Amino acid sequence: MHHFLSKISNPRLRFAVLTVYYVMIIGAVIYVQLRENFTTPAFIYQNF
Amino acid sequence: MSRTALVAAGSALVISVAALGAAFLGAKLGLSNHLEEVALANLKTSRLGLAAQQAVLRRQDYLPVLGSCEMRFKQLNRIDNFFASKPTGFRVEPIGQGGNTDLLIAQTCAALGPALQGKKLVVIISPEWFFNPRATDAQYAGNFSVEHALATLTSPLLDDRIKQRLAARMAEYPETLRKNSILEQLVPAYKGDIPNAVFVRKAAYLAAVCYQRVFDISDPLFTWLEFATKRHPPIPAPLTGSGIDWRAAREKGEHEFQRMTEGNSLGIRKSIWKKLQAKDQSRLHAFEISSLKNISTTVEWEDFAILLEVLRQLDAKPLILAMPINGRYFQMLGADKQAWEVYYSRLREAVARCGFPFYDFEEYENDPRFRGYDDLNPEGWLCFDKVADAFYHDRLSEVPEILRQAL
Repeated sequence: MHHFLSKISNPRLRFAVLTVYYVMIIGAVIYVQLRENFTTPAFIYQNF
Repeated sequence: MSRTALVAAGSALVISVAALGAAFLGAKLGLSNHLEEVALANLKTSRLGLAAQQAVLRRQDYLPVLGSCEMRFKQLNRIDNFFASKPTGFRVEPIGQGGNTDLLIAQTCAALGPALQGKKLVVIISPEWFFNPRATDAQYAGNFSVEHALATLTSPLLDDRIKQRLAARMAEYPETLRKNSILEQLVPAYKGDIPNAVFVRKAAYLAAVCYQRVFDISDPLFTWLEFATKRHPPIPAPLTGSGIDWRAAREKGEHEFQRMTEGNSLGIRKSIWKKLQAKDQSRLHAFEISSLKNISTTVEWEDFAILLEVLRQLDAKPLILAMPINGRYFQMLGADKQAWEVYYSRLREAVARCGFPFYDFEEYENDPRFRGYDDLNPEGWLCFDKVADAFYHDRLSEVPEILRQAL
């Protein structure tokens, strides 16, 4: 990421890209945490 | 970290929290606007969560029905389809999928807690639950909800004795407890298996109560996400007051029965019938007959007793409907009634202790139109529909007469 940011010369654009990057990380963490309750292994009913 | 990075991280945090808040409010609004569709959809997220179920329980015109795989097999007379147009003033909220059993239903009810106080609900019991020494790991894990388990063990309406029984059974499925570290501490603490159990229990209890706030956010969010990303059949317009044409429903059911079974004498749907015929018959025979031997010793009886006690302590008003065993099928395999009659006698005994209304439909066990291999056939559903209708309208005293006319 650092390498990618160093290629952006416009400071505002660099700030925007960095913000979006952090939003994606925070969003992913929140999503994974909140999703915990709704992940169950698939159960295929097979009684014989 | 540079100042730019810090400001960007701060901005990202603010944006994320604002987006989460907006998504949460949007989800809540969406759920309340589409509650009727959500109630009928039997979504995985609403089964594993509480928000949608609690919202439906606040309404007087919905009857929750908790069951297992029979709630998923498509049939015209399936209870939620049958009452979808509110022909006598109510709809059914279906809750259940394959693998659901007494212990999981007990946790769902316990988690719903105050929302169930004084509320009518129907629980459908499957004989197949009693064919294994206990519910299998896959079965339990496939229907397990961390939210329900935590809410169960922190419920203010249940006494410690029943929580200990629940915890003892939950502990037999350690894989599911590993999904949440609070639960991992709380369950053994309730069982009293660890040093300083009282202290750990209190600490885990507090953590669990705080953690419920996370579910308050995730629950509506994910329920809405699942609802909005799936297609749902349109809900029939309410026909309240129109009544039910039972004769027409029976005729349609008979037509569906013929189509789904292609006339096999055991009333087993054709896809399952083909699988059964393709099996090595001697192995199938041994498997099925040994299943019957588990009925009298299975831990499922403890789970059933727990479920009844939870419902009693919650002051809920349940109707217990047990599906009969497919007697013809087992007789064809060479078993006789003695091998399974304990299923009916123990069910009756257990429910009688709580005084809940209960019907086991034993008299229909040899009727292929009533029950297939492991689900209900159209006539069976029609009987369940009639009893549920009488239950909702406080006319259970008429059930013997209603059932006499049924078949």
